[in-house]
Amino acid sequence: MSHKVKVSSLFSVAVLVLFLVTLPMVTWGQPIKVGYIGPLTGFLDYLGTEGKDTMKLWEKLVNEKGGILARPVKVYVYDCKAIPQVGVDMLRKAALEDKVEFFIYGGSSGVVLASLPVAQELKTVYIVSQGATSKYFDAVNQYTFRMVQATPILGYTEAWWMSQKYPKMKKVAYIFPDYEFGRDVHAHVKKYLTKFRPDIQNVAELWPATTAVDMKAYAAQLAGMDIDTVVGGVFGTMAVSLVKELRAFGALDKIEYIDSSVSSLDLAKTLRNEMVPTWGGGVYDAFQKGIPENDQFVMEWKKAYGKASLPGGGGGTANICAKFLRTAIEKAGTTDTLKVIRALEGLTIDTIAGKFKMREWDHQAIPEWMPYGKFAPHPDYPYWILTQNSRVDIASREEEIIPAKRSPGWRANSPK
Amino acid sequence: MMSSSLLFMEIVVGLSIGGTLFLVSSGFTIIWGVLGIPNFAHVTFYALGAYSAYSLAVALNYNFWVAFVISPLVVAAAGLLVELLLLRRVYAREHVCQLLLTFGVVYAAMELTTMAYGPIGLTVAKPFVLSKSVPAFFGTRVPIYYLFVIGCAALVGLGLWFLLQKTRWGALIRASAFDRSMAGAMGVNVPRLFTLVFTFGAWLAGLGGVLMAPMTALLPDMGILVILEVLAAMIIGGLGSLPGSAIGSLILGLWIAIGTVILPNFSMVLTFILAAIVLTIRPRGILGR
Repeated sequence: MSHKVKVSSLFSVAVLVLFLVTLPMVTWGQPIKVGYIGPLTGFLDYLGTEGKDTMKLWEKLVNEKGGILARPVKVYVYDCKAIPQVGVDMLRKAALEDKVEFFIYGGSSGVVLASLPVAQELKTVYIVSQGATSKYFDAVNQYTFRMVQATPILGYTEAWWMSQKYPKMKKVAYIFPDYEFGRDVHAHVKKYLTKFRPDIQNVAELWPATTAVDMKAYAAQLAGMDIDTVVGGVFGTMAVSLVKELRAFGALDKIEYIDSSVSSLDLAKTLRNEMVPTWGGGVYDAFQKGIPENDQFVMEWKKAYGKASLPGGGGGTANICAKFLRTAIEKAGTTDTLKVIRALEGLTIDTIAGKFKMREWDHQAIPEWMPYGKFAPHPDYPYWILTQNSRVDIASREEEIIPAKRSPGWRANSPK
Repeated sequence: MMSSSLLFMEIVVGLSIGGTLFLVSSGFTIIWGVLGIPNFAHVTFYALGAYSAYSLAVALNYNFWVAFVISPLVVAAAGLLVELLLLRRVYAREHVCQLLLTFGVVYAAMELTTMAYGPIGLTVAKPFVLSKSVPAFFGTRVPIYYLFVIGCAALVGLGLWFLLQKTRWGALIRASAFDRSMAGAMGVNVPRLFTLVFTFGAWLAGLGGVLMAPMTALLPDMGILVILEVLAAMIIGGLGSLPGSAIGSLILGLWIAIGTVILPNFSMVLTFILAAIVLTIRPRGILGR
């Protein structure tokens, strides 16, 4: 073999070895694709936009710290418009065309119910950050998880702080949006409020359509009623218009308006100085004290989106979902779907809203507590924020609020 | 059974809804009557009116009255540009082209609004003097702002009647609406008249948007959300008839306000129910020819 041939052979072998050695490194360096599907437009756009901003911030921060399992994260964003069919289409497109591996969904209960079987069909992990319907428990499957609180927890929490903070409440009118979430959360608020305060009289129930943008007719109706309190579960444009027009009728001088919406901060951000001094609560409160992780999140959020900006319900829940996903992948040591699912089941983590435990048998996360507070102006913000920040204990009442229920049964050890 | 006080309050609410609808539908009607085009971009001018009121009254910190005067003029200027740059090119084309173009303007404006203001709802506060309510019949209180909206709509209605019936411009507009080629032959500068009518229609929609801004949350798709009600008001009153659009708007406003209380489960379809009833009984609308 001539010297020239020898050198060429050695060189070829070296190139081949180098290729084989670096191949796994190239694979390791491939990004983990995480899809965020949410309503960037439509009546829940404020939730989706915050969720999207949170996921983009999470992507940046995770990648700055070396990614997950030494792989960068790439977040893909899809607009479901809060329409079930669009949500399903986006999920299919993301999984089949963009090859997205994991999903976080933040939007409407209707989209969640339509998407759960599709996630199972696609065999992809789908974590719900918004979409609180209790029908989730009938539709959940091996691939789907929910971090946001179920309507029984929301209803319980809201009724609890209402009964504590509004002792003069006697005659109540409810106004909730006429769709899956509105009907469901109203049923639980009413159930628990009646339990905590049997002296309260239910005077009326109003059900505006989610397409309603002009609430004058409802405001006139409420202003003319013999009531002392309006429990409002409407949100977005409906809530803004309702509060403005109740005030125009002079109704807020004699009627207490309680905003029981799960994303109260969004109402305050829009109404600014027209906000009402209501107590309010939800899944996430940026001003809860004593949670270093939350302080860090709020600081990073302000750095990214401006000093007067704060994450609300849509942002907070997306952040918690992202942490669940990251922790599970790291615990599994792989992005293999089934291994990540096993890692998520029973996982307990510290989050920006306290400790959360992902129940093994129905894939519903349970918080240690739920936050609430009172809206008041603050010199650092152009809108009212939650003050007198407090908590409702949930962990010790879990069995009472959401009893363990055997779900469709993909695990033999699900409780009966 | 509805109490007298609730009925009275819903009538006031209905008149204020009808008043806002009339401001938008009257401009649409004039443009349809004179130019003969289905200008769906008209609702964009309504949204632009609301957003420019926000820019002036909130972002730039002027008071509401500055926005009330300036915003419709800003919208009129936008209308002038749309007419000169886009609409003028499709006057001779069939309605499908005009429809596609004007819908394109609606969606393009919606995207631009989202880019400029974001997708989150914005609000404009009512001016202080109009923010309270006054005692009225049956022990009720009526928001002064609703009376202001009803008053503005009534004044615009009277002004339009005077303009169309008692002035030379009105005569030219009516003549062109009746037979534009004859009007042209008689020396009327038809292209200029079209531009003026379109600009004036945009001003009316802008005024409607400014008046609506303190009663709702501003969203990029707020124009799309009002389009069906505006069309229904025109169909009910009779397409192309200005008095018809006034009557249609008022009937629809009252129907929505009272129907929401009487038929709460049908609140989403109230508008279509009324339009269907009117079209069945009188397909040309109440004052349609």
